[in-house]
Amino acid sequence: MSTFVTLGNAKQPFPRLIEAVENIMGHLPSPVIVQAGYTPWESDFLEILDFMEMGNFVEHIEKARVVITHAGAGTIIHAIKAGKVPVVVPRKAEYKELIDNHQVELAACLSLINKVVSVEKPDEKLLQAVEKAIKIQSEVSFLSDGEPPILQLVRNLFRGYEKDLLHVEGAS
Amino acid sequence: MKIAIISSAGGHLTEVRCLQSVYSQYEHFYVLNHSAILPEDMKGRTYFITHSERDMKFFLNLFEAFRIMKKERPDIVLSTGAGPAVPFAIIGKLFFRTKIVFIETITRISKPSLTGKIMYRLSDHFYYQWEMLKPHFPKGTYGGTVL
Repeated sequence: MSTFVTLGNAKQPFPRLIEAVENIMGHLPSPVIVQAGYTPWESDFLEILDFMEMGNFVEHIEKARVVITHAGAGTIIHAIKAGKVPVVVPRKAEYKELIDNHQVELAACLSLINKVVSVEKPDEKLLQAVEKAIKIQSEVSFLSDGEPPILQLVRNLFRGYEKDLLHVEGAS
Repeated sequence: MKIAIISSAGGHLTEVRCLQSVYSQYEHFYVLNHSAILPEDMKGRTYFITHSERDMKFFLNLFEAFRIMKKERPDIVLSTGAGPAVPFAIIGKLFFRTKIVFIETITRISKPSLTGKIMYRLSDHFYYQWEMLKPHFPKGTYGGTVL
């Protein structure tokens, strides 16, 4: 099983993440595949791709034992849907990695409910975060997590609307 | 019953598709604001409208929304954002008595989005995913995260 690292398609480079991954490479499941997007990087050890087609992207996530990603909402959702606990490293505006700090907040809050493991200082704490993510991924309680309540709320709402429609149609 | 799912391409689309198990049992179609490589199940059921971002192209979107709504006549408009939800909500409410259902995006935790603030006024049912938003959406429903 592999490690899949993704930087998304934001235009700002994010070398801080790839550098941290390269530093702990020896400890990660191999091969380590990096979707680098707009971050130029050359490496003798990492497999670097810039972009990939969506089906291929999802397949990489599904096959990976470890997923390390920038804190983009789309990628996080794909990873969680595939049953992974991604390690997320938020891009920061102060390093010109993104226009604002919304990734920081998202990563922190999803981390609180154990959906992701967030790490703001990957240069120091990335390996620790990877180990924690692997541990949560293997816990039985995580695997049997139920359907999010909001889905049931919307489902009930739609059923109510459907009944109203049928009622109206029946009356006319 | 027919559902129109309105979304920006990218993360918002990924997010609204978390609700697929809820809407796919009904007749449904998508509207996106940017071309994208579509998953199989979206092919043949997706419209594309002009990409506008807080500019005059919004008015073009109103015409595009009217054309699509008139042809499809959905009973419900569902969206998590971003901007494309607004013209469809306006047209839906003005002309077609469509029910507007909006879910504030998962990425908005402590402060609402601009689309969220507008859609709060336009929607029949408004959900938000993080409790911290309650003071901003007193008549909305807290639903927890879509994941």
